[in-house]
Amino acid sequence: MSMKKNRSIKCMTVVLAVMMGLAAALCACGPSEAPDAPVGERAVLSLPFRGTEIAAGDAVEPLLGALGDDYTMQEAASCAGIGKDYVYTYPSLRLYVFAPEGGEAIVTSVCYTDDGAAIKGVTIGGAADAAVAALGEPDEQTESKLVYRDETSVLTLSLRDGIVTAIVLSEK
Amino acid sequence: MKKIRVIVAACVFILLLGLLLSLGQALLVPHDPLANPEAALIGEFVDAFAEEDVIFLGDCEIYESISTVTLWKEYGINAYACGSPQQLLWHSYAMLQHAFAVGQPSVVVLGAYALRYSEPQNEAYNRMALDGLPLSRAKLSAVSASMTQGESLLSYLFPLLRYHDRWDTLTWRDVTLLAEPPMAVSYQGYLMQTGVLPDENGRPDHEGALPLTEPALGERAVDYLEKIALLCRENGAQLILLKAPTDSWAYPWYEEWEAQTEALAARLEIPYYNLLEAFDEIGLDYSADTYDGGMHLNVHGAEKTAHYFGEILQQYGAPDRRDDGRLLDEWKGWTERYEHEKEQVD
Amino acid sequence: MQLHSMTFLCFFGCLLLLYYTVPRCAQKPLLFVGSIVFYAFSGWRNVLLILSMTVLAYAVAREIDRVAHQKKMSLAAHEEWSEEQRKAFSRRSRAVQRRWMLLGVAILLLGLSFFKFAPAVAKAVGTLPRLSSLIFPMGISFFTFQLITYVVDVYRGKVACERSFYRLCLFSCYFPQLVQGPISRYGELSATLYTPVGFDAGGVSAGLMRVVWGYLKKLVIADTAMIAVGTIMQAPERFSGVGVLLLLVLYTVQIYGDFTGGMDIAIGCSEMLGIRLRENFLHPFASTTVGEYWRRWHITMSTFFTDYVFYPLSLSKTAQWVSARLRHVLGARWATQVTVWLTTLLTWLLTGIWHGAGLNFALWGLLNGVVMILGEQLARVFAPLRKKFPHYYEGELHRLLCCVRTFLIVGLLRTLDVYRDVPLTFSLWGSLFDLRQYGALLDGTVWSSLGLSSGQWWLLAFGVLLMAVVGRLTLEDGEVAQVKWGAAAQTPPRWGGRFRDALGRRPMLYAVLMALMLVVIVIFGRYGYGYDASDFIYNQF
Repeated sequence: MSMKKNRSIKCMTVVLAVMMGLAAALCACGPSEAPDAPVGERAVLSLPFRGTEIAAGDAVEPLLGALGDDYTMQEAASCAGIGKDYVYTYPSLRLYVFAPEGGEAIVTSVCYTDDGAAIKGVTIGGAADAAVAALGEPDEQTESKLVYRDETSVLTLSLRDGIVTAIVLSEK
Repeated sequence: MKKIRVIVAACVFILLLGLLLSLGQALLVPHDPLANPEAALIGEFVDAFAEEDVIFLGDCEIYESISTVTLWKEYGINAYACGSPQQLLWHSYAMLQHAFAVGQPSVVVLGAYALRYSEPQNEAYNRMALDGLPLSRAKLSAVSASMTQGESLLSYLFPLLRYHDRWDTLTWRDVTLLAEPPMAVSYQGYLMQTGVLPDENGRPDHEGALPLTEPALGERAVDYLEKIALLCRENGAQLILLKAPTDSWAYPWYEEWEAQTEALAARLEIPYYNLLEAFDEIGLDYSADTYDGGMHLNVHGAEKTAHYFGEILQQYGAPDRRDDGRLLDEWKGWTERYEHEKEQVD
Repeated sequence: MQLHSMTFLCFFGCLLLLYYTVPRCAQKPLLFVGSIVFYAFSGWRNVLLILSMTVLAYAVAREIDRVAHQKKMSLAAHEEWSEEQRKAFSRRSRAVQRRWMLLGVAILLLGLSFFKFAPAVAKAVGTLPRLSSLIFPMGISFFTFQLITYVVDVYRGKVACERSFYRLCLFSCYFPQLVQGPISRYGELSATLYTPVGFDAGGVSAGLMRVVWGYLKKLVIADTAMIAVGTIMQAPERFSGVGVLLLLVLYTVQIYGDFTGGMDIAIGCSEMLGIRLRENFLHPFASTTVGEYWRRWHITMSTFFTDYVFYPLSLSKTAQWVSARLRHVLGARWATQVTVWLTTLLTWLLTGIWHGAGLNFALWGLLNGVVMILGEQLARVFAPLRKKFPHYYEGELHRLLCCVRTFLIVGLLRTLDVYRDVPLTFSLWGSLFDLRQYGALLDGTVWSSLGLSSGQWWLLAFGVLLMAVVGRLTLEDGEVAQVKWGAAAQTPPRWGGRFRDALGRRPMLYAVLMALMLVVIVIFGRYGYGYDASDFIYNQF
């Protein structure tokens, strides 16, 4: 009888071990990426302007509706007619847009052009240290730039002598 | 008996499949040069390039900025502009390998603008650069360096796999073109643009361009420049780096790039010419010499630039071939067509 | 690794070559390693998961078998026991076996439910972001169900307990069925899975033809229909009325091409390896009732729910208790009837929930149950008419109308899966009765707004016709009757029928058809750069 009991216990142990293995596998299956860098409020990187968050890859038509019509626009046909490039210049901000032939125009880059625009208080002319304090630790930091990345875009703050000289968000 | 039937069936299968796929490929791969002249440039280069003394390699700055016909007319230089939209340096390397395989150019002029790129940029431009090249190790290497996300090597080996979805946009012209002789869209690689759209400033500048966030030249581009330099040395050719006289918000040329290009050229002992600095000497005028507001030159600008750059080419040993009767005949035909196209708009 | 990826084609080509060149004793180990490699492409953690679940099923089945063996030995050793004592001992043993079986099934279901529902729950609660973005392991439903059938069948004494862990692993991990089924039964699959095979040109060529046909259905027909379905899904309100009708048809075409295409690839690949998988579809749109439809569509799922949910529920003490209580109120006949209805509804509710953690799926399941029950009852109501007008009721016109009715009903119910929003679905169903909108079918506006070119519409129409013709050609004689009357086929029907035999006898016809099909796939298929190659729909289950 004790033999039988032993076998039962062994079997039970196997089952429990498998359950534990299973549980471990289940828990391990989740994505392991670190949480997003604390830039802005959105899951993707974006630059705020006039109460609107602008991200690379956004459709341009609704953005222009939200930002207003006080812009100037330049356009250039891409070589071989695969689409058109546009730049929309607002006071303090420029939107770079690409419209593939027959496709939707999307924002490829966006940049601030003077200190009239800010992301979390960081403006052109601000100090690099203050930028790091406001935006969090960058993914890459050199003397000439701070770089924040997400899956599809990269936010670069160009620096000169510790001062922010450009704030540019672009598609990767 | 059954074995023979199976063997015959297998042969029929292979032949039928090959025939239908070949037909499909001929029809579906874009082959109308008038619909997209830029896409036909490399195919033309492969068909035409043989014994030219000078080869230009690069993007639109190359195939639209220097008139090869002017180089011939004024200096007797037998040149070919092997350009394609956004030609990257690894594309140029593959094309140069092809050029040395079929000919012996003595001067190689390489566009400097592509030095900014370290990564492949656009599938459409990759296709325009690579689809026309014949299969070779150089092409395979360029393809693997060029593929953007979602592209596959197989689709470069069998372009039908890329263009198969054109089946519902085929026109009757696609069919008739198969029976027609090939049509040239360029003049030894030079793609003529005849329109005029003046630039407000009259001079090149990149006001409005995206601020430069990555000042370094492309690492991979620099590697390939070194490879190109080595290839030229091995083949006894003189390599020249060239920046065309254009600068705009869409295609800016930053001071940082200029400084690095100069340093790089000095390190590799390659002569470098930035024609932006010779803008006035060339006699360019953006109120008349550009067809798109200063981003590219039109035929008038390209002729002025060729007139200026021809002298430089002569300094590097580009010979005057106007004493070669066969070349004279060939160029006569191209020149007549060139003048005819130019006059039609003028 | 998707079945329609270039990686899979390379993988399978290499495996097939090795399979028929290695010594026969190495064939099955090769298949096992190949299956693990195949599954590892979806993540090594998934391999750990499937192996853990197989260990569990193996251990539980062995324990059930051990108890049975022990019972046998004890009864033999104690001949002196009275009949009462023997019965009591048997009952106790059975109870222990039952506990093991329930434990195994519960843990297996727990694993499946965790992946199926935890992300939705975490999303709803708004906490545990890691959990809400949990990646659903490919094919977990299918191998979990297979292991459940194995454990239960061992408990029921239908199959012998497998003593070799490796052999059981091969059963659960066998790669063609991992992506989207079919849900194999151990008893059936083991008949060919473990037997070494020599190269059979007929089997390999028939399997190859079926695989290519599967790719054609998936890449040419289903993925073309997907463009229009996707357009409607993006803005369902824009496509009310006639749009709902079109969605109903287009999504049915898509899911049929997608699912049966995947099944053809899986079963065809398996046939090339000399292993026979269960058929999962038998010309489902020839069904005259929803009940018949479910005996022809995703057969292995339907039979799984019938054999392992419906029957156990019907025979459970709870069902007997409910029936006994109802008997007082409704009488014996109706009490039994209502209990069967309740069990049917519960089974369909579970089927719906298995499809997804959402109200739409639960409702989809329930409505299928309701429609089936109503169908059976209405058949009784119309029985006198059937007797009065036998020519009509037994004629082809009536059959055709019934087929159309069934198609529309299952298609309409399936839109719950597309819209995934119950109130919206109901409002869009309501818009079907706005007859003014049907003019859009004639003036062409609706056709041009769904993202398909006129060429693609023709391609789709031709594809549907082709599927219908091939479906008819590949039916085996007697198959329809078997399915219609629900008779479980002792020998599963074989795809291809006389068409397959004809191809086997005419290599030239085979060669021409194969070349044409490949050309059609290469030219008209949706793949390559710029296409967001859609997964098989049933991967997500």
